[in-house]
Amino acid sequence: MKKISWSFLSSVIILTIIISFTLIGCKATETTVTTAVETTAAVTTAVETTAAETTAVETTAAVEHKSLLTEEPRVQTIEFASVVDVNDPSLPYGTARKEIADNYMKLHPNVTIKFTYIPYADFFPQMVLRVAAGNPPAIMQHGYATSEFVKSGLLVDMSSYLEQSGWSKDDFWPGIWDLTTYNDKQYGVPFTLDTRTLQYNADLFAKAGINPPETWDDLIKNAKTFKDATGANIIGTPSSLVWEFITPLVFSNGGQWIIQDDQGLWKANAESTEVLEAVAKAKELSDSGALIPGWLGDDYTVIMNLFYQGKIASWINGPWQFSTYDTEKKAGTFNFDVGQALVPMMKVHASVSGGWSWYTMKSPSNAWDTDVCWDIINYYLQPENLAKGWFDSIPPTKDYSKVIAANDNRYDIVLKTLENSQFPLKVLPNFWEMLDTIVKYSTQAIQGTKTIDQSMKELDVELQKLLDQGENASIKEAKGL
Amino acid sequence: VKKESRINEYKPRNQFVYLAILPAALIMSIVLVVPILFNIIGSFTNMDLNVPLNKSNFVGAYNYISILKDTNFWTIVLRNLWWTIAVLSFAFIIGLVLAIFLKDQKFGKFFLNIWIVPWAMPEITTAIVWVILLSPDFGPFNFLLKNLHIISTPIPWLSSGRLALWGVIITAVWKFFPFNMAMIYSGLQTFPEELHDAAKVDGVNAWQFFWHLQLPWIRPVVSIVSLLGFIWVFNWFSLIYAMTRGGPGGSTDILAIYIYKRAIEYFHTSEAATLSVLVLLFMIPFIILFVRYNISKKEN
Repeated sequence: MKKISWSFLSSVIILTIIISFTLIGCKATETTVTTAVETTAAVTTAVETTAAETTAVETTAAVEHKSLLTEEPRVQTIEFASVVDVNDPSLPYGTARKEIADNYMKLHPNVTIKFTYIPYADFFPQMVLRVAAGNPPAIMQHGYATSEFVKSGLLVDMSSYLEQSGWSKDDFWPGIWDLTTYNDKQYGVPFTLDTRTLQYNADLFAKAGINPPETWDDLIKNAKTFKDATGANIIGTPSSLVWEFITPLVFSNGGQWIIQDDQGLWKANAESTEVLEAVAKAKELSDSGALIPGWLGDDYTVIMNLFYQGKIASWINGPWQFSTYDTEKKAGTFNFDVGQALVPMMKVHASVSGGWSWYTMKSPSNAWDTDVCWDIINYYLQPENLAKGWFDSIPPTKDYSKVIAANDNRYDIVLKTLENSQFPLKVLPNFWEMLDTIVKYSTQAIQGTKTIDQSMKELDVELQKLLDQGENASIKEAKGL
Repeated sequence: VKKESRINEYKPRNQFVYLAILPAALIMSIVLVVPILFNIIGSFTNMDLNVPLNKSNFVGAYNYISILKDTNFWTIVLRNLWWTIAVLSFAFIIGLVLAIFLKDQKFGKFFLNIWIVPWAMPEITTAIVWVILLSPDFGPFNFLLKNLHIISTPIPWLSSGRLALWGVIITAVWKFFPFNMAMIYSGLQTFPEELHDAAKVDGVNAWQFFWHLQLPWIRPVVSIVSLLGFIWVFNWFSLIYAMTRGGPGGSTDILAIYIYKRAIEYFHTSEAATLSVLVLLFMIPFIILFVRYNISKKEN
């Protein structure tokens, strides 16, 4: 009996200690978890800071703008998540973005703008996870997922804000405007547009005595001569070939990956003559040795470095690279002149666009006002603020793009390219999966692991499946088909 | 009677043991069992980025049927098996040969410590290093092969649909063989010296010594290494993702990458949950084998 009592007593004491530790641990864990989450966010986002912390940025007078706010907003923090590191001094548009936020906060002291930087490679998964966890940022820089986010009820319809502030579709470049349109409503505000041009090493082309290629056939024809004269491959392309390589070929041959039928339903078009010819041309380019061996494994950074080293003489790339060229040339990374031309063509000159938009997210806990989010976005869109910092690539508004082009003649070709530049696909549900599918089957065709006909046939089936599961299902439901 | 006695052997003598393990059991249930349950439930629904689990509809076995009917899935399963068997086999053979070689060497332990480095290296670093090593543009392997006149044009190890899987297999073997080597080496260290001497007296040759004495001796180690290796390598994600992201043309897509893409990149959460359940089901026999093996080892 005595033994049992001691056993019982010791059990109770030890259990009490364990429970106490567990409870203390829970409390500590609560703090630790919060810290861990913050730390993780800080690690993945690398830099998270409030614009108010800025000291190094030279502040200028706040720009007055036509605000829709009728009274001073309540105290709130607006988290602004983007791929731009506002603390990176090498990014002029980043520091400018922070400076503009500082100025906005002077106008509205109750509002704190907190920037969250997420590297491009992590951006989409991070956003999906944050949204799924019910912890979205107030303003999000994003692209290509408008339909998915709208369907999940996360985005604020910004049509009336845009209209009330005097913005219309005509003020923006068409491609980027469509990116944020879904069911005739505007769910985001275009902020950056890009297109692709042929950027080349002018010294190497001069050495070879060859002009930048007008057509893909010119490029193939001159590849060997060029290599013999300079030791460099005439062109290189990153393995994300859907944007920089295969789609420009398809577009320049008058093709499209997907098309819409009379009923408005989307159809895969990978077996069309235009697409088949374009893929055949891509294979011919690869087989001819115009591209460096193993180009399908090279990512953007590798290709960029090979270009700097003079091992490839040209690549299809966007205007976001201009500021890097300027910086790297100044730093002595390379010393040749970078020329620019239209992307070589099959039948017509065509190019591929991309872009980013800013979205206002619905607050799960009423932590922020969407009016304030719009006010901040609108503040950034003011020409004076656009002029302060270069926000990468092409500004979304036509007027301001022309101002930029007037100051930098590299933009003459960029804006000319925009005349026939489209997104690789209409931004529909399953956009990224469709792009990956195109890459997968095009790669198989170019590498010869399958015949062009076979791989495009399989691509057609896969694309159709994705269209039917996605947009076509919604169209059929809406039209009662 | 035997079974009963075995149960009694494991029966705690004091009820306090149950209380003591309760907090840990609760925490483990929350962090392990609950997500698995959610995953299993999710696999029978149409949850998606647009449809959270609590608003999703029950769809029965639809996800399972559509995945099992998908030829892409089976291609990936076969590739996953091929990748696992290739990595395990090569890593085991290299690990075994080196362990036997190092056992009787004067500087055996020194070299063991050197060769264990790949295992200790972070996976992302390994991936980056090997992407550089295998690069056709500036990789030392191609440079060497070209200068030795073995090849005329660089081999696109990671960018050819036919070679990319081999590129990642080579990297994985390099990363995984030290684990095999270290485990087998430690197994060989326990080999009784008397047996060795007796074999010498009996005139046993090297092959007979290895095949009839050493190999049976290290069989328990080999079993545990193979089982653990199978579970690890089959589900290996980071190395392949960092090296090729499943490309080019899907040629290095294995189930772990396929699941990640479907869940995170394409928002098809319920499909990803279904795939995870299928992988779990496939893994269960191996996990049971592993656990049973550990229990029987303890008993022995």
